[in-house]
Amino acid sequence: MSSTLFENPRLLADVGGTYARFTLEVGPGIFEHAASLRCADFDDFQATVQSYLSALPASASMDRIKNAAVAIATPVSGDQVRVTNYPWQFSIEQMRQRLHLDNLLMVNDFTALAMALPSLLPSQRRQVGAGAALPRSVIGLIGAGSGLGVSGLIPANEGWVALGTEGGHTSFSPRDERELTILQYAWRHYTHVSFERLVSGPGIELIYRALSQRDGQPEQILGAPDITQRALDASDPLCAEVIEVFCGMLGTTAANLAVTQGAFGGIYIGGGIVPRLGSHFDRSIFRQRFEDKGRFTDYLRGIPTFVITADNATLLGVSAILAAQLRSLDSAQGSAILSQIGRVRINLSPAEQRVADHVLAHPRASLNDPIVLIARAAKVSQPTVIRFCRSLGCEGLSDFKLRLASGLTGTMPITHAQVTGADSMLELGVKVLGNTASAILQVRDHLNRESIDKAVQWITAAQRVEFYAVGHYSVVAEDAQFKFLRMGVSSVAYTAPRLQMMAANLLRAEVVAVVISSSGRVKELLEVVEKAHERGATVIAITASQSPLARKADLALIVDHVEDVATQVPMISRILHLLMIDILVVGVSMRRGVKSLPALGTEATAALDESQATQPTTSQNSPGVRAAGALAHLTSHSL
Amino acid sequence: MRVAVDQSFPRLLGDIGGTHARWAWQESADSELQDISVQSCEASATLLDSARTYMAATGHAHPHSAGIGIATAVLGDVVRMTNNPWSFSISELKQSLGVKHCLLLNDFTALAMSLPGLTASDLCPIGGGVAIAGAPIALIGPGTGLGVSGLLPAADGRYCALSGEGGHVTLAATDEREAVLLSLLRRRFGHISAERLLSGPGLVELYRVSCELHGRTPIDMTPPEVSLAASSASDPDCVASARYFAALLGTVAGNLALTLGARGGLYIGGGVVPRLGAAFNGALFRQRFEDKGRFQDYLRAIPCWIITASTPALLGASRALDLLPAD
Repeated sequence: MSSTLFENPRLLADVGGTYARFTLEVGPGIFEHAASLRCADFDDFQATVQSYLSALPASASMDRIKNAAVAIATPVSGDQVRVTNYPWQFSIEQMRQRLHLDNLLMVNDFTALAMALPSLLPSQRRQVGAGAALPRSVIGLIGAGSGLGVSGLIPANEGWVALGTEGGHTSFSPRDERELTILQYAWRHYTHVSFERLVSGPGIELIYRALSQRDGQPEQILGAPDITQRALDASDPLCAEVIEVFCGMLGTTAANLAVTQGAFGGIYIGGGIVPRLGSHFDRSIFRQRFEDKGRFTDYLRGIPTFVITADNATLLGVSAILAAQLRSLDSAQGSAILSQIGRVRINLSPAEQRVADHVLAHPRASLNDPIVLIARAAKVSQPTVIRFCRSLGCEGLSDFKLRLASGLTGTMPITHAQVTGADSMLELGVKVLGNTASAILQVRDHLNRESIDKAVQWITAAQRVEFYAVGHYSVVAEDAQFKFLRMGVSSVAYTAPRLQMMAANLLRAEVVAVVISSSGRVKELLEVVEKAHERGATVIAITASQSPLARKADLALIVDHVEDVATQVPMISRILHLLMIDILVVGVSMRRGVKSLPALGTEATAALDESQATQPTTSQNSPGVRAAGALAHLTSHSL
Repeated sequence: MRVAVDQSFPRLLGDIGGTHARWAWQESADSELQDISVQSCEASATLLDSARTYMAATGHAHPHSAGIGIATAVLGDVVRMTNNPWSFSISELKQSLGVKHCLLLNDFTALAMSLPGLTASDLCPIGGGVAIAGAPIALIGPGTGLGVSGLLPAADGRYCALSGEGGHVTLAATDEREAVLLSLLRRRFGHISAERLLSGPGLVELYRVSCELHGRTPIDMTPPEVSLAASSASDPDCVASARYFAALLGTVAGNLALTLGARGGLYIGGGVVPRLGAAFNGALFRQRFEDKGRFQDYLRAIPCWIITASTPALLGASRALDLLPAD
């Protein structure tokens, strides 16, 4: 597998209470030049960063770093950041300018840790007890350190939303008489005793004092690291009891969080204390207490609990957040060139600044307007507009517009060029392919995950799939029939209207009918849908949005493309419809997994195909790999 | 791309509690719920029977979809109720009802789905605070059990409803009196979940404990009888029971609001609080809700409401059919 490197390495940092850790992410998930610096050695954050950067080899020099993200152990809201343990205080925007960065992102370190969870590898966590995580379910996070952090990750659309909560401050619930004794001791010092009071570093010390007092020993002051150490080397039974109580209370917190959030994705434990306990934690009462919820024991038994063992988990989360931010920056709201205009505006001449202001206020108009209109709207001369474009590093207005377009509409410019008689054969080829590529990208941008999921699910569950199309779209139905048959899904394509009506008359509940029509207004096909519904069958349409067919079907997979039918046979629409079928085939194949394989690679189906079918090359005992191998035969693109 | 929802009408909507099944019919997307009817769960052997009885009585047939909130965890195809003997398979139910979509969801998730649509006339505020738009919303409801859910903001202004079992958190004690109470109950039950005391049966349990603490002999009472005696102040232990109830509910609700970061407000559903009426000590509830040390200001800003609307969960089930994937 070849991994692509970023054009510019990304600077990541995790600033904790004592150390600031840095690394450069040179490609997705590829980290280099990790270093830890003592915060106390530096006067401010900027000096710390610059010290790290100055130690880097020349190849990773500062001017190649454009984007940075920093996790910091303090709440982040607004532009001002104040670090709790040090007199460091700064404005994020000023820091960005001083470090000459395009983007600087500051996030709370616990939020960053939460965002790392979905992509943690099995080697980066350790499961304590049984249970299995359900995919795309709520994930809970607890971090016991100097405080008790509580968060959660909620699956939303494609990604995850981190929950900002104060769950560590919930009232402590004692589980047995010993915990009640500790609670009563704590009440003498605090009116509100939260879980954080006890399930944290200072909490360990408080539990120690409470239990010393219970035993009639003089109240001793002992630090949490010492208590932990004495428990680990079994040199002090009281310390061992303290840690056991701590683990039990953490079990109660974790279970409370799990039942409240419905965290079927598992509960993760971070923070400084638990990793230090090592296997001692696994043997503690933690998991037993976690499952100990009366009638809900079975419910909790199914939920896995993990200790985060990756020491750079926070940096992984920072990396994920930065990547997501840069992606959204690339898309509609914040075009790279628009933010570039914003940054360089101050250095432009007053006249060029007027052009900059006009473009920032009316980006879409600037995309379409000729130079005359832009100059007039900005109240400048036409050469000034050109100078403005060159100040941004563009060759001229058309180059500038191309960059602006890419920022406004997606990662690639979506264009439509008219093929004219004056075009050379090469130009013609470029335009035809370009138009097709643009149309495909547009469909990609409007793909609806939910609808595709559902369509795949219905087809997978169906006993038979029937494809209905007429005219130029018959080939789409036939292609679909071929592909699904090759996968071992009973399927048939009907393309003649009379036959379609007869076939629809025999539909039943276990059959899914897929109706393919670009306009969604073909009368015969609409009648098929009505008949299918009468017969209790499910109907999926591949068609235009807002069309009668889309409204009538149980589920519509939308392909919107206006074809220039006067001059050419509708080619692009058909390609888009074929691709939609391809998506369904890949989806169904992934869902069916190994089951779909026997139908593949046999001589009968290979003979139908132009290409030489090859035997699945992967081993028998790895179903995931085998499915991927099968997919490679089905589609021309890799997954 | 869009899921054609019009196909899902008419809809059969259900809200199944431990003791009662509420049913309603919705003809189209613009029509109100009609023929809302309550049946005793004991009257039918199965959920399907209850649905059929309802449809026969109201003259409805052939719904295109069914949305049913139910007072139990919905995890796989087989749904088993915790508080009554009903048990069924969702796919079989779907087939028997002859519907295209059959959505079963936890009743509190359904209630949660209805929250954004509730208006001032459906709610009674307890104390102050202002909801922050787009922030998480918490929901707690003592009924036959203790339902807990929340709405969390997802992208594009939509909400995602939690389907947890937050009623089973371990109950906290916040003063010596409650500590004594919990010790007493722990000897009897082992694990004391919030639901153990914050529910209809819990109200009776609190009454018994109060009798025990005062050396009086408890008599057999139902939850509504305890509510009634508390309202009329005719029995000191019933009054004490209602007081404990409000205080403990305040603590648990405060914990929930902190755990979810629920600056969008906390809603109280379920049958017990409305039935307690004036015997529900709102001021005590609110005091305990806010009583979290340095997070007092955080909680003081969070508004609390009692849901007074009669059938919000049925509306929520319908909303869930609009929004949730039907699997």
